[in-house]
Amino acid sequence: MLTLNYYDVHNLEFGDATRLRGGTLTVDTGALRTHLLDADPRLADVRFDLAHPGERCRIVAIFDTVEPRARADDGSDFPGVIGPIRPVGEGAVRVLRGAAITMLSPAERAASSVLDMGGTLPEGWRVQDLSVYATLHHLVVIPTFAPGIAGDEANNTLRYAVLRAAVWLADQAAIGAPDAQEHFELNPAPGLPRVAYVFQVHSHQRPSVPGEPIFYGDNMRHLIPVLVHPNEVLGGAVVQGYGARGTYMLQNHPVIRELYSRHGVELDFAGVVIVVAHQTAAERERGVAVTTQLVKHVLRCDGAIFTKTGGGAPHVDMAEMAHQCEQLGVKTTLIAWETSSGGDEGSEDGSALFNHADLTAIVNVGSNGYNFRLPPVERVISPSSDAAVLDRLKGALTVTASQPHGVLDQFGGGRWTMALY
Amino acid sequence: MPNPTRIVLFLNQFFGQLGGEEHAGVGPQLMADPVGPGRALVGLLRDGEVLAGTLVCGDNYFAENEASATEALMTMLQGLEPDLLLAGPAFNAGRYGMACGALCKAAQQTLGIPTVSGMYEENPGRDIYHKDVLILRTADNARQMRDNLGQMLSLGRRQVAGETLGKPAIEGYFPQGRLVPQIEAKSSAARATDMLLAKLKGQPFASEVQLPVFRPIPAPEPVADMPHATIALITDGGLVPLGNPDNIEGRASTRWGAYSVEGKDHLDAKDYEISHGGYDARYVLADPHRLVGLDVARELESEGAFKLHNAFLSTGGLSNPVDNSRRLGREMAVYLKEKGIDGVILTST
Repeated sequence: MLTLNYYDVHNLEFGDATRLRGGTLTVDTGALRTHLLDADPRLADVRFDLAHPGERCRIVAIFDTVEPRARADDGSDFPGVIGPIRPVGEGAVRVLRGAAITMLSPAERAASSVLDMGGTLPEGWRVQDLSVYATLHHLVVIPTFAPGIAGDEANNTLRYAVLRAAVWLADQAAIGAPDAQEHFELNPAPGLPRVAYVFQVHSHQRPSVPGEPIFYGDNMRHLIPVLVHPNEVLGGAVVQGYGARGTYMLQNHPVIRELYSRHGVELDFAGVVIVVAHQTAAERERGVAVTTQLVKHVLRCDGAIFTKTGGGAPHVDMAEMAHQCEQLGVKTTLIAWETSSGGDEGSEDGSALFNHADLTAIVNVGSNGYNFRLPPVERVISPSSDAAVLDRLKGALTVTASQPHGVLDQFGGGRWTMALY
Repeated sequence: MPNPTRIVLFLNQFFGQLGGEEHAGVGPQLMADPVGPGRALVGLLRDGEVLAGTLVCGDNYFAENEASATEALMTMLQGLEPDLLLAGPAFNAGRYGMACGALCKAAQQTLGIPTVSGMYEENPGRDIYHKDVLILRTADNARQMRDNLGQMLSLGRRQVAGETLGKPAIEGYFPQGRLVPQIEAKSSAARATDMLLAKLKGQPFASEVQLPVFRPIPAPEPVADMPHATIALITDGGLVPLGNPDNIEGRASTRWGAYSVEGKDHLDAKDYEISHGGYDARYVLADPHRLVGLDVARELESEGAFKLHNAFLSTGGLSNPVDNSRRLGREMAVYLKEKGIDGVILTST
């Protein structure tokens, strides 16, 4: 059993000491800065900023967002990355619920990942209805690299620093009795349909590099599908590769939480199969074959939910796995963006890159070609301190669907869609 | 008392009770009195709704004279001053479905009135007209005729009143291929779980993505005489001359380019770039021949294997809607025909 001890954060501010009192999380950024710089000489400096739900504030060039969490026992935090390699599906974890560490990437284009904390789009959508990240209090970390640190080395630096900051903050502030607890345990649920989740964690369209931690610290470059307990994902065994930004979503995985909420009531949650999207046909075929066997014959499932990570090739990998499961009598549902890229007025032509007649149940997380017109904001948090750049980023900004942080969520956490009429 | 809503019903010769297949050649007719399904429809009308008339046309007559039959039916329809046209339901009758679709589309365009038809999923009329015409999903037979008419009437009535219809799966009509951005009440994870449970229980559910129809493409005949054939190199991997002179987009490209290789026996890496955001282009940037094999093609040409066209064609194949890809392909085919090219080597990523 995994227990999450929630310490609820309703406000976030800078202060002399790091503590949570009456829902207000105070952060001693001097101490956090020392912690991060002492741990990694590749960081020349870090500065900090705060962003709150509803604030007319825009965070740009986001590397990743992580929920502040630290073990409540002697278990490992982010095993294989900053913690020792140990299973993480058991025990207790302290969670600063409502808070987030958001790391910026100085090398990123500003608009590559944008989070508006407040405002309403021309369609009438409030930003907090589009992205769960807009509902959190963010401690934003803005790094500067030591000379010569760039590319994969810079990304590796950011990966370690954001996880360290998340663990440090929870370890310092989540003290005493929690506000709430949640237990995750797969008790036997006989007689209900057995359901697996096939979780595509990474796409090797951008091949992961040596030292890029994704699964217990491994880069999954040639991963053969592997069966895990859902608690391992919730417990921090999986973090995002350098090109993705949703580690918070993995810690709170929407599909896993949803299947848990129905476990023993409507279904029997059988387990999670971790897969990646590969680059070669043989790897894809191997992935399809092994996944199908695990779902059908090892887990003995009646149904499975599939998600993907990234663009076109992952879309096809996911579909091939689901199709082979259907061929063996396992019912499937897929979560995917629709690929017609038809702009603001989408068209059904080319909505998917496959047409297996048995893939009859696909949930649409929106079109990757849609343009979001973000209204102007009052303040921008950016790695850049160039006044002209900041001024431009404050204005109205049009971005395509993959750019606003958390809107086009491939793990099932979003509510935005392109509905077919 | 406001003017009544004037409804017109369109039927084929069979449902118009003129006879079966032997009467399929009968031309457009206007019937003042309700006939066949029209009688059932009259029983479903509310106060303030009238069946203004029934149009009938034989299946074969319409199929063989689509333009003139449509024109004749439209003249009759216009004379009835309709507020709403109901056509069918045609169930799985193909010629009838095509006629319903064509007449509904013409009535919408010419008279600006709402129309509703009803068809079985596999009716070719649904395939051709579902984007233009609101078509109720029916079975492949007429057993539910009365219910189907009631549903068509209801959909039509609400359009006349200016109401916005709900989602196709809930309202019972075929999706018209429009994707409308919106925020759902539930997360996509919750919707996926709901859908899976419904699928497991054999209950109805509605996929949120329509699978595309990929029409089969017959393989062309082999090139008969390779040594005398002209061969062109084409790629969708986005290789373009430095500066991307045609501004080919890196995603969902709407343009393509033809880039001269006249006098060149290889592609110099420093002269090219990649406009394609969907793959790791480092290896192609280091050596463009990994994508466009000009070096080997020139060797083969010098050995007399074929004659090489002096330009390669390029576009970006990332996230491209099928319609757009078809157009790019057609444009390239016109170019190839003009240049007298006999075969192409396509390289993708």
